Amino acid sequence: MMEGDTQLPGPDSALDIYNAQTTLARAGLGADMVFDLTVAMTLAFGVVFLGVMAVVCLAWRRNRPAGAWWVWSGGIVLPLVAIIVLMAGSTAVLVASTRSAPNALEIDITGYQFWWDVVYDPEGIALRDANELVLPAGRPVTLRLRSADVIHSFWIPSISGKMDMIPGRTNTLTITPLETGRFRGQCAEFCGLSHPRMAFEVVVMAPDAFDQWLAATQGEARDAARPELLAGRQVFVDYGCPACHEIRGVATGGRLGPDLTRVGARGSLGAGMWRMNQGNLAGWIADVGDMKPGAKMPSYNHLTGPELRAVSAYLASLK
Amino acid sequence: MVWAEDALSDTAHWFRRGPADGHPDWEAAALEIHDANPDRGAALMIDYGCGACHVIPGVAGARGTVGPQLDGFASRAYVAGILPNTPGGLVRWLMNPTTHAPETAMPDLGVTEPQARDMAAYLYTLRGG
Repeated sequence: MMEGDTQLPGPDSALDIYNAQTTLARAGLGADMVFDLTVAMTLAFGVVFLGVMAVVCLAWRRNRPAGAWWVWSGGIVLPLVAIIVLMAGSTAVLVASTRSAPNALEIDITGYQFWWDVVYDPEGIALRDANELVLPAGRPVTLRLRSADVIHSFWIPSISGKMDMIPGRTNTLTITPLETGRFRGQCAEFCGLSHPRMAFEVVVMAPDAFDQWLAATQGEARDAARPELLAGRQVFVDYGCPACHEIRGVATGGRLGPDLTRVGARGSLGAGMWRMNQGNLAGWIADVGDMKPGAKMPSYNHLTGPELRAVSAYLASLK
Repeated sequence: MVWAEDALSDTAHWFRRGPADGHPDWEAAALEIHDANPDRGAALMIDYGCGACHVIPGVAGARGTVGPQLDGFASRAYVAGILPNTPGGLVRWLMNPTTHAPETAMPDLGVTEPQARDMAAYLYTLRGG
């Protein structure tokens, strides 16, 4: 960050990275192959285009009707061959870039208006998190994509192509991140008022760091270590937050909203929209509708000042 | 292009402070914070999430309506109705709002003194109103 900063609140965020959400900053197999395909197609069909223009010039200069041979070859055979080559090329890239492996990690992702529910290894440890996707570099990951309400579309431009999330269906997409780093994903199908505010953080780690992270994240939420945090945890319980939000070790069962067990460790708040820090958490709790129009969470502006401070400090401490 | 940027920021500065008809602008001088960087202050206000609660002109995304709007802040008499709006009062408020207003909803965000000075310098560029 900037010179002279002694300390900054909050974890690293994709919001601080200029090209965290672009197909041009390639960091995954799918993004790589699609980019190469785009370049190859552009070059190949640039040549075809120039050839056609050359023939047009020739016809202009000769200025007499063309024979049937030109019509057949240029009007039917050439487009047919071009379409077949396009089709074969893009299908091959699609198959190769989403190829799975027998031991691929599985992650369930469910789209909600306007956030993402994430479950790592659903058949095994079933670790629940939200609005952030942590992935191992160089390993294929099979995502099972669902929707809880309307059609969403899952897309991490730097890593892979997109896939729709359709109510009542499970779509499978295998992605292979290749480089470690922090990226940003975005809902790519209009899904309601806050569709543009439905994004998420993606953190790609080295495989062994990922395994460590997965092991370390499974336990209960960090304990409230100071009186203010303890008070904040009490506010969380007393005001009925657990009806929708789960914090492992504090209150389980709430599934209508994002899991908050490690909310303070996420790179951003509000599904990839705001920097994660106590200030934004407090503003979010007091006035959700202002920060994310259409979100289902009500604004808790009936908390007293000390209550709002305590609960926002508690949530920020869950790392 | 460095000279152009300098000229631009000088012009922006002139508009912010007002020409003062060639007289010394004592009011602006009283709000001067030595060695603080208002641009860094504006960036810090993004990092601390101030905009979730306050409207702050010139700070990206600062459209919150939880707390008071901060436009024209340099012209306010008091900070939060409690401390006199001087550089010292504002810096102390930004670092520890709950010390001065135990019932406030504004959290202590762990802002350090140099950071608070930068933020205060930015807020004092918000004149008029």
